[in-house]
Amino acid sequence: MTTLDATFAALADPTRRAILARLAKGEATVNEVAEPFPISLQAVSKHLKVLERAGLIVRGRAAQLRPSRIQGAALKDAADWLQDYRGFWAESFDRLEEHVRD
Amino acid sequence: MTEIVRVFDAPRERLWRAWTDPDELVRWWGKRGWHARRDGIVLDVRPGAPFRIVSVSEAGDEMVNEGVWHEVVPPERLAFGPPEGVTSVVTFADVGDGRTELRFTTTTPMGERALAGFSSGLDRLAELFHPTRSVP
Repeated sequence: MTTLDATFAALADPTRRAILARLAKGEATVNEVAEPFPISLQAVSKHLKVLERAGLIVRGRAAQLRPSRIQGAALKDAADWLQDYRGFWAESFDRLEEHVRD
Repeated sequence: MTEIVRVFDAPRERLWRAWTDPDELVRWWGKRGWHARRDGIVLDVRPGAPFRIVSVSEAGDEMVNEGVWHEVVPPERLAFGPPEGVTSVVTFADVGDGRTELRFTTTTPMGERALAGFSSGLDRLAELFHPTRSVP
């Protein structure tokens, strides 16, 4: 699995997107991240692990707290990829315009 | 959700042909630096039938777009996606003077196998990329 695959896989889950939205506001510990969700701390930890592996967040070393914060690069790669995908159609349609004019 | 709207200086029957005839599609399909391979295009535009388009880049990379036609309404509307359901719709509307408005909407990158299955995530993903606050 490429990093991009991992990023999209991580983003395909609504809870993980909500966690990312929370972390977009600033660094947070597992407890703080878990607060608004009706799921266990273990479940939240699992989601954080997935996000971390996808390069979307980084987690601190402090054994207990391990504050998480968002990391922009992977998100940007995903955004670039989507942009590129949009570009596929936009550029195809440019050529289609020329083609049907002939 | 990606939406692209374009007005073409051609009647919609002409655009329909450009989308559904492999000899036509091969002339425009693909972004800059890529082109469809004529012997790699199977369209078979009928509801329920599969399609497959192989593209090659100038660097020699190959990309496959494939899926199933879910709705075929000539010369107005094509809906396609993976066998499980519609992810992309293209409509052709007559806007007068021999011109056609093409409206293309898609929720998923069709055929990008590596990313197949994440269609449900892509809508909200778009929101994530346009947050009210900027992500560092």
